[in-house]
This record gives sequence, structure tokens and C-alpha cells, in this order.
Amino acid sequence: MIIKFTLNHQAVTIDTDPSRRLLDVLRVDFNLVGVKEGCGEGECGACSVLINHQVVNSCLVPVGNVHNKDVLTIEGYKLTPKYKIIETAFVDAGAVQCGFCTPGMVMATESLLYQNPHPSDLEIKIALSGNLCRCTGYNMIIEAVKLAVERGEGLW
Amino acid sequence: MVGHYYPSSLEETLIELKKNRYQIIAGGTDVLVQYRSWSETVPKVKYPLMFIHHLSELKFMTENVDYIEIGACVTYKDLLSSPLIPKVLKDTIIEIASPGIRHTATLGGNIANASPAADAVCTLIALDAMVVIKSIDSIRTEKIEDFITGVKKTSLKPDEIIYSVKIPNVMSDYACFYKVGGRQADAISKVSLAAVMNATDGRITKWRMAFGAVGPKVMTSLSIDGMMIGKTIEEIKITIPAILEQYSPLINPIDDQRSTAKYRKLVAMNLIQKFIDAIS
Ligand SMILES: Cc1cc2nc3c(=O)[nH]c(=O)nc-3n(C[C@H](O)[C@H](O)[C@H](O)COP(=O)(O)OP(=O)(O)OC[C@H]3O[C@@H](n4cnc5c(N)ncnc54)[C@H](O)[C@@H]3O)c2cc1C
Ligand code: FES
Ligand code: FES
Repeated sequence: MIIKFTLNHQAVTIDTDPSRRLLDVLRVDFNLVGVKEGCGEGECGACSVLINHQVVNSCLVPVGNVHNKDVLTIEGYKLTPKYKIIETAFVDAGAVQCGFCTPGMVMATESLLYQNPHPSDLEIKIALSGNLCRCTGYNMIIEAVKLAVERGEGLW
Repeated sequence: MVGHYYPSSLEETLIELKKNRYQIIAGGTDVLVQYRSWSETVPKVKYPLMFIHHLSELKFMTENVDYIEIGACVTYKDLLSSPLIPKVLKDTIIEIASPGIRHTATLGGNIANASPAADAVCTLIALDAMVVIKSIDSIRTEKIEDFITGVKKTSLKPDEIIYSVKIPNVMSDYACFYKVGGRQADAISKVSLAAVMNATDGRITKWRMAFGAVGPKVMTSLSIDGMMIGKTIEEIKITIPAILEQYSPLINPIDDQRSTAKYRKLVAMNLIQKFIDAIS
């Protein structure tokens, strides 16, 4: 099937099997390896990307479903000023250790702040509830999001 | 074998379903887990996929005096942000999976998947909701508890599709959803209960309960529920052991990787009691 979508701000067209996982298409066809595969079944969030600015688990999205949609991965998001705020907030809060979960955490954070620029602690926890981290213990990650909210005032 | 199909309209979908056998895929959050294969390979589906997630005809939410009607492909995210959706259904949805899944998973998928632990199904049954089912030459409406016939089984025929869900547009005095799972997000229910009650002058006029993960499908019984009607709330509160006894035959859970039968039965009973404690 011919699938047209926007990927990291650029229009792309691919001819592929629409049942393939978006995760595989991004990693294999586009070499976007910031998108990680953890569990492959929707439980860890390492594969998080944005579709039309909402976070999704790319391991559970058949690529046919992104036809005419807008897909953003960490590689595309990296080029934005908002990303810089989140990146430094994560570093300053000690929210990164091995880093495997980090792209997913960052995309889930962007999805949250886009919809809700001033989230409560509970709203942050809900927004990150689909993302597992085996290293940091979560408190630092929640702190990092709060720091990004503070420093990014007016950006979202 | 015919290939996967990406229709441009509902009509085209239904015509094609009449001609060939397909596996419908909406958000894909159940399908891609069920048919999961190795990384970098395609899912091992039995039939080619029929993509419906993009069909605008399945994405509506409307209200009239009788019903709130929800198109099959409305996502959990859209339900959560709509003023038409009853609070108890939103309370249920916020307990389903995680944001990434709620952004794509659909109500139609939860029903058609017919899991005994399906959370939205519990609440929809307690609200007396119905599914509207279409093929190219037929349309029928069925109560959800009848539409789902067993573990992963429904009355859906290969040429049919769930078109929408209709929820009676009535107020409930009490409508609760309780879920017990292993983790707060992304946990399939070990046990769940959706319960709805109306009373006039302290006397019960409506009583509906639906239990998840305690049988081959979401369990409900109009006849047991009917025994509560006409009683006063006081009578209900002082006869809890008898009521638990009445519901007991409905609750026949199994041991599996998520929990044990014994635990599930006890928790289901406790959830009934929790609801009775909550009403006044
Ligand atoms: C990590 C994880 C956590 C989850 N947590 C929960 C939870 O807490 N509670 C819960 O209830 N569920 C949970 N689920 C299950 C799942 O997300 C839901 O059942 C969801 O609603 C399925 O919708 P979908 O659109 O993704 O369905 P799909 O996967 O696209 O389809 C599911 C089934 O329904 C059929 N189907 C879909 N739409 C139609 C239609 N319109 N007409 C006919 N057939 C149709 C498909 O053929 C398939 O058999 C979880 C799943 C994962 C992966
Ligand atoms: S790899 Fe997709 S959620 Fe774990
Ligand atoms: S930093 Fe290692 S998994 Fe989160």
C-alpha cells in the first residue's frame, strides 16, 4: 500500500505492507533508532512517538493507520526549542541514567504539555503512566517535568 | 490470498466484507498483541486486515432524548474530552491502559474483542447499552451482553461491522466503576464491577451490576438485579449477606497468570459490598 504521512516535519511516501508496526518502519526504513523497542506489547512506552501531537505506542500502531497523519519522533522533536528545555530539565533533575526510556519519556512529556501546559503532579503521573523506567525511580523524572514547565513558561 | 484493504468509506468497507473474509483492525492495540510475531516482521494474522480507524463515518458522537450514540471508532481520548459521555464511562476509561493506548484504542474494539476483563464493556452493560451492527444489506441492534457470547466470541458475522454503541440517555443516581489490577496503569483487570442504581423516595427503581474477569465473559444477570427492585435502600443495607449469596452463582472466576479464583471471588463480593456502602 502507498502510505503518505508527515514524518518529522517532512512529507514522506512509502510503499509497504500496512500491517507492519510503525515502530519497525521508523527504525528499519528511516533509521530513526531513537524509537526503542522494549516490550513490544504496549506496556513500557519505550517506543512512544507522537501522532497528530498525541503520544502513542508505535509497537501497537499498524503503519496503515498513519496514512495522512503527522508523526513526530525524538529525532524530529530534537530540533525544537521546547525539546531543549526538556532535555536540560531531564539532565539537571538527574532523570536520565541508562537513557533507554528517555526518548519515550520526552515524547510523553511533550504530549502532556501540548494539551496541558500547567499540569498538576497527578496529571504528570497519569501522563507518564505508560512509560517504565528501570533506573531512576520516577521521582526525578516527575521533577524534571515540573522543571520544564517552570522554565518553559509561555512556550507551550 | 487477497491483500490488506484500506477502504475510503464505510460503504466500500461493507461491500468488500461481503466479498472476502477479513480481520477488522481499528486502533490495533488488541490485534497487534494477539497476532504478535518477531520484531521487524508483520503480525501473523489469519485473514488480511480491513483498516477502519480512519473512517469518519465511525467517528461521531450524538445525543437525542433517547440515546447517546457513539461511533465504533471513537477513541478513548475523544470520549474523555466529550461533554456527552456519562461520568461513569469516563471514570472507567481513565482506568484503561495508558495515555498512548487511549489515544488510539476504540470503544468498538473493546466490545468486539470480547475479553471477559474488558473494562468499558462492564460499564456499558451496566448502563444497558446496545451495539448497532451493520452489513451492506442489514442493520441490527443487540444488547451488549447478548452480543458477546463467550471468551473472545460475539454474534458478529464475517460481513458485519460494529457501527455504533447506543447508551440510554437517562440519569443514574449512583453509577460506579471499581477495578482491581496489579498496577495502576496498563493493568488488565483482575476483577472489576460496574454498578448503577436509581431510587425514588428511598426505594430502588433500577439496579444493574456487571462483573469483569469472573467468568467467560463480562457477567451480568437481569433476574438477580431484578430482585433488588422495589426494596428500600435500608433493606438492601441490612441484608448484604443475602445479596452476596444471590450474586454468588454469577461469579465463577478461574486461576490464571493474573490472579486466583479464590482471590477474585472474594474481591468481587467485597466490591458489591463497597457499592452498597456507597449508596444512600
Ligand atoms: C498494554 C495494554 C493495556 C490494556 N489495558 C486495558 C484495560 O485496562 N482495560 C481494557 O478493557 N482493555 C485494555 N487493553 C485492551 C485494548 O486496548 C482495548 O480492548 C481497546 O479498546 C481495543 O481497541 P482497538 O481499537 O485497539 O481494537 P483492535 O485491536 O483494532 O481490535 C480489537 C478486536 O475488535 C475487532 N474490531 C475492532 N473494531 C471493530 C468494529 N468496528 N467492528 C467489528 N469488529 C471490530 C477487531 O477485529 C479485533 O478482533 C489493553 C491493551 C494493552 C496492549
Ligand atoms: S515497546 Fe512499545 S510499549 Fe514497550
Ligand atoms: S534511565 Fe534507564 S530505563 Fe530509564
